Amino acid sequence: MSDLFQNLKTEFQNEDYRYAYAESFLNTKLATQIKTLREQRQKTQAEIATKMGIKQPGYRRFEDCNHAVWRTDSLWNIARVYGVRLNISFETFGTLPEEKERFTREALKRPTFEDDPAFKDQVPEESGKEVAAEAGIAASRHFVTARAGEIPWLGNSQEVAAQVIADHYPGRTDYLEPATQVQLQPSAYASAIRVPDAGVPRQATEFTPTAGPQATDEGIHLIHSGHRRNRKTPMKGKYGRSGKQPRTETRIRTKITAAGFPTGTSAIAGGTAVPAA
Amino acid sequence: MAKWKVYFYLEGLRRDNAIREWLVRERVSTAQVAAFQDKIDTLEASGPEMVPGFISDTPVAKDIYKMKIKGNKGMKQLRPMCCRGPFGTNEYTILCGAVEKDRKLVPEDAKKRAQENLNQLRADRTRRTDERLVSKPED
Repeated sequence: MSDLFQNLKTEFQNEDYRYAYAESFLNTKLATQIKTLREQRQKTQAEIATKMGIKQPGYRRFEDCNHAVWRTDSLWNIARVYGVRLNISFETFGTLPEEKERFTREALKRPTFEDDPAFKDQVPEESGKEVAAEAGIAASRHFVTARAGEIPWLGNSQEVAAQVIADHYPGRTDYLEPATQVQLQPSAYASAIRVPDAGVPRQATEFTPTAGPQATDEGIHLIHSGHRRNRKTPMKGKYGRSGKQPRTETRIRTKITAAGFPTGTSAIAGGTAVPAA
Repeated sequence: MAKWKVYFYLEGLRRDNAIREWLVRERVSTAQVAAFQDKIDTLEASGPEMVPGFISDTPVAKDIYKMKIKGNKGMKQLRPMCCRGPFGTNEYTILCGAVEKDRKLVPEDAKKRAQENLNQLRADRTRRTDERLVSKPED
């Protein structure tokens, strides 16, 4: 236990003391973070004040640890200028010493919405495309992995979808479609995307593109469609001349849509699966 | 990051904590003492830049800085005087207490007293302590 905690343990027995201490720290924390955000953005007090529509002396008090009367509309105004959100919460007194010991400039810095890593690759207007592209990359990786024999088969559309989401959106279970909404592909299609023993069924017939479950407002839906050709007759060109074993080409079109994302966006992930030896 | 330390000047033959005595003398409320202690704790844990507005950016007299603990309506405006060091870089020593009334310091000679105490401290480095503002029951 830290010295600070030991001291506060005694001092906080007085109710007036602990509330005044906590209030003072809150004021200090707010003022310091406002100052830190400004300096992080390399702006002057006057520039921020102008953006807020107030005068510099009016803004300056927000950066003073003695400022004690905060209005939520002012705080939201500040939050908007710095491109962050405001978070107000009630806490126990027991967490205060630790919070105080973790009180550093680095811990107070926040990126703007534009630089927020959570959104940087997903501009709202294009998020559907971005998500689809991510899924496409993930689907490609599945192909590569399957081809390397690291996983025996790709799985059905639901499993691939789950894997793609798990890879790219860890913890985002809300992106997973409820199982009841999944209409699995026809068995022919399901077998087409399976790669048993890192290979592709040789005898599969011409594969007809299919559509997966339709998007609803509930979440992301993965739609695989594709075609697979198993050419018994060597193709003209590279393989024909070389006389090598015919390759089976499988393409999977991954389409992900989600609530709030523009529909019709898609990414195509393709790969050439080499038949098992 | 190097930790900071805040000391209090020990005055007179009895070497009393000048700031504790002053807080008692001025009958400063528990709430204000708590706010003062919070700022000192934050300064010690994180450095002066993490308590903006607590210590004046510029000296109010040679080597003397003014601390500011604002009081709400009816409360005293505490303005203790302090110095950087004087024996180490990451330390402050609070030399004497003062309050602000009608934009004037009380006592009026607070800056001068602070300078005198600083000279005393320079001559005798044992004239300071790092205890807390509120004495513990066993103290």
